[in-house]
Amino acid sequence: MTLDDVQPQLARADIDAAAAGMLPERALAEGTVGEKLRELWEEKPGLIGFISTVNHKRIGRRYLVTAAFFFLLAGIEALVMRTQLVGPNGSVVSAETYDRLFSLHGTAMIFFFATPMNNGFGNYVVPLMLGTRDMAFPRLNALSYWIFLFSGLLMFASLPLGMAPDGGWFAYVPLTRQLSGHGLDFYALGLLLLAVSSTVGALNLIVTTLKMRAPGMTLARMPVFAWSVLVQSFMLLFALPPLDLANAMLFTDRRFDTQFFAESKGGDTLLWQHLFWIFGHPDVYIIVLPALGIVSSVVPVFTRRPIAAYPFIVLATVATGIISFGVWVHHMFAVGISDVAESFFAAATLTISLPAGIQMFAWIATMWRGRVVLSTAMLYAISFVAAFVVGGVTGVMFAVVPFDQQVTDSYFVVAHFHYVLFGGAVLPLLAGLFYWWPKITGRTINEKAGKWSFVVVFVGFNLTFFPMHISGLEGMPRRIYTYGPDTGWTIWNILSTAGSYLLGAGFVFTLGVLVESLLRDRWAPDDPWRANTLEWATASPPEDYNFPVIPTVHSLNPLWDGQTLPSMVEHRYDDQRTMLDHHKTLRTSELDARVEAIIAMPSDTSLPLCLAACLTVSVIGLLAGLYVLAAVAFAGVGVAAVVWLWKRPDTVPPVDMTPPVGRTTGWWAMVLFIATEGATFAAFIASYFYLRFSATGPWPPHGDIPPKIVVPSIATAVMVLSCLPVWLAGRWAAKGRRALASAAGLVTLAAGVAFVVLQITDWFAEWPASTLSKDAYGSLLFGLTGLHVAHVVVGLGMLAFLAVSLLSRRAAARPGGPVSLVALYWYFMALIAVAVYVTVYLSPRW
Amino acid sequence: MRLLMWFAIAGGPAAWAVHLLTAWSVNELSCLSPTASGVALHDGSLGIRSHTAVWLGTGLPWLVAVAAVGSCVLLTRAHRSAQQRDGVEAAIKERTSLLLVLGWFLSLMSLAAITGGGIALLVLEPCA
Repeated sequence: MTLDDVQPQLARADIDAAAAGMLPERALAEGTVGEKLRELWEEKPGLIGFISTVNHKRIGRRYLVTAAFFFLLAGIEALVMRTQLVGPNGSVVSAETYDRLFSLHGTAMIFFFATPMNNGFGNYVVPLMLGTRDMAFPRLNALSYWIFLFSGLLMFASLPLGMAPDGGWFAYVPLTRQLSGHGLDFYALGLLLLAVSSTVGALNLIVTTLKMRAPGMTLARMPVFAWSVLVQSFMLLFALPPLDLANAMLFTDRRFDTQFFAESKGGDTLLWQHLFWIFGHPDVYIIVLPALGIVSSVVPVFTRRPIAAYPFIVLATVATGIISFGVWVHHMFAVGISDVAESFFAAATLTISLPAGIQMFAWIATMWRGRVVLSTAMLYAISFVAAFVVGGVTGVMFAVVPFDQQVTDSYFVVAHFHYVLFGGAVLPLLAGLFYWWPKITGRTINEKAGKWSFVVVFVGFNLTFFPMHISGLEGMPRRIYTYGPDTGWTIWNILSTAGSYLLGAGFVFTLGVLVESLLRDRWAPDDPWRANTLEWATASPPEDYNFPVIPTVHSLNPLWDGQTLPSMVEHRYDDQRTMLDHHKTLRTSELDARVEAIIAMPSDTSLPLCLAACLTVSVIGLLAGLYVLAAVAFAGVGVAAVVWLWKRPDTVPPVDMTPPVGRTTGWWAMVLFIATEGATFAAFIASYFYLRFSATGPWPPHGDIPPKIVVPSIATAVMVLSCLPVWLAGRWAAKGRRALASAAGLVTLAAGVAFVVLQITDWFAEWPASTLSKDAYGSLLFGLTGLHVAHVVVGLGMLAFLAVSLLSRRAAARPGGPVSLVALYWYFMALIAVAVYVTVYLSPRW
Repeated sequence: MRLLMWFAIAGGPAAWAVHLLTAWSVNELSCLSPTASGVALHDGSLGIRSHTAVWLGTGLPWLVAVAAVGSCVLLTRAHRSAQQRDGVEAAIKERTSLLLVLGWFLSLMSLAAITGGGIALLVLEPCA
């Protein structure tokens, strides 16, 4: 069927569809295949359906609601702090409670609100925008949400328990190493648990963006929001490992007496700052980039023209992601680094303002050349531009080292980062909420009330945070719980506190507008805004299967090009685009979105919830010092993982469309997992050398002798040689020779076991001379080798599972199948074995 | 051509990353820490003096970033002539244009950042 054949049918469908608020193209496609797809994709009702859903839209909604709930809690903490500071010598809360409030407020806003809220939009909108039926890994998506929920609840539970973190959101050592109580344990373990969720979520979004786009959606036709989520997800994969490592080191320093940050034992307090800010600065953009993507979605729709300078916006997004990793030291300008080193990072910090400026000009140009419609969403987008300019300008001021040193740790910094994070993230998130609300709920809002709620929020925001610039310049330090009457700061604090109450009222008003919308029957049509991207080609709210027919994308603005929508009608009898026999979707190529295969998707399952619950119990066991409970719960994680893999949906081979098949989603997932784990090892090895070269005496310190080398040499050789059988296993599996592949996998397994035994033997040999807690050297030695052994043990589990599932025909024996994925992981283990050997065993001899 | 495109996109940022890590770490190691390795690097007993190492860690990456800009020039010329030829798919042309814009911007920005570091070296002593 061609486009010309489609036009007369569209004209007939147009009248009926318009009356029902449907796009005529979707109406025709739904009429042809909708009923069958509805039966196929329908989810279980009730509680079972609630806990077992893997649908990206339900999970996305949960992310949004849960993150908003944490925002509410953290916002109440902020109001208590502002009340305390309204006048001098405030006594609403004690100093200790104030410490806990600002620590939890910062931690929650950064980790449990801003990033997950972005994830919510990413989860809900990205698959719709890309024209696919779900995320690449729906079960991982559910796992990611459940872990996020449990880690957030764990973190907030610490406050009523009187164990909330009290060392600030960046938890600087040596203070946090020495603080008594469980507050910092909640912090370190809570963030480690959350990191699992964030890593899994990021990996899923990357693979979805690269491999699940509708045919024809080349990278150059991908919406800016999808680009920003893609870049943000890559950033998360590489930014989280240093933070995870730092938190693991902090927890073991506090609990098991390791010495990573103990200056007197060869540790270094600056190591924490480096590791934290290597994560911390990119995290600003991890939060802000998707928000900028939202603005790039809203602005063209409400200016009625395509976005200006699309390639430049994309490059600005990518450039921001890259440069953000090279500016972390500007958070440390006041710690005593040399002028030259500060200049290197000042130059980088000045450079990063360029891509942000490019995006600003692109939005302004779009508005300038378009016809602006001042909807609530657009008002938030415009207000973001103003607020982000203020935050950006003060950010550039921090690149000037002498200025930074004057205002560091003052309220000027608090004002700056609230303009960046509230202005740069919360305002766009509100824009996104009002923009996608009709799609998410199927209802429209009262625009007039929405605009008034915007006014209150915007005024409240500026009244809260702008005076902090002045109190900061007048010398008010951040984190103080009260101040004297003769400081001159009172007036600015009164204004800020009044603003914070106004802001709170604005949020209550906003909530009222949204609730009113839910209670009224103002049903939204498919495309209430006459928007340009694919999510508006679905029902409002979308059906469980998203698209009845996967369209062919012809441009960057598919709903405006007059070709993409008709392609849904054109292909409505095409099995490849309708996939009516199972939960299936299309897999396409990374660059040009050519169809590669039809892949099976999993159905509802409560496994993600079970796995997340086991992991959370394991963390609680660690927190409470109940190590047996932690070990048993962790074993539960292993069991859940085995059941998970045993019930893989893709044991049915994919239907290949064109040879070659291309890279599978599993291949990408494994490569990305290896990349993020590689970053963890790189951070650990860098920490080793940082401490080694910071040591004031010989290395190993304190009279330690370099570790013995014979056993580790044999172990490393065994590990490297074990790559051969696993490579053969991959070759044989590709040819369908299951028995041989299984046998080769078992040989690799035996070699891996030998490696672990040899490594443990070496630990016993080293132990009397050097222990985990003797000094930083011992902590590094056992920490690094221990982390590697733990990874090898996971690899052994994979090999054993693979051998069994190959023989029982559960695992597919084909090119690019699970054997090749396990082989990839094993090569990575061998590579790390060499890196650890050189670092731990050879380098002390240099 | 594909390799050159990769270099045009990633060469500049990679050079900048190398500059930042080597120049900063050598500087911090030899200027601030009274450690054996730091002192050895500072007085040249390791075979190279710290300020030479910092200069190398700035100069060599600067040259790589210049080469990345150069490869953008070459690729832009090649792309222009390819656009005038028939038979090249529109989607591929679009994608190449996008990647070239990315390459230009990343290379120039990396060059600017490394140049900024170089200027700091011109006006300050490596261990200032």
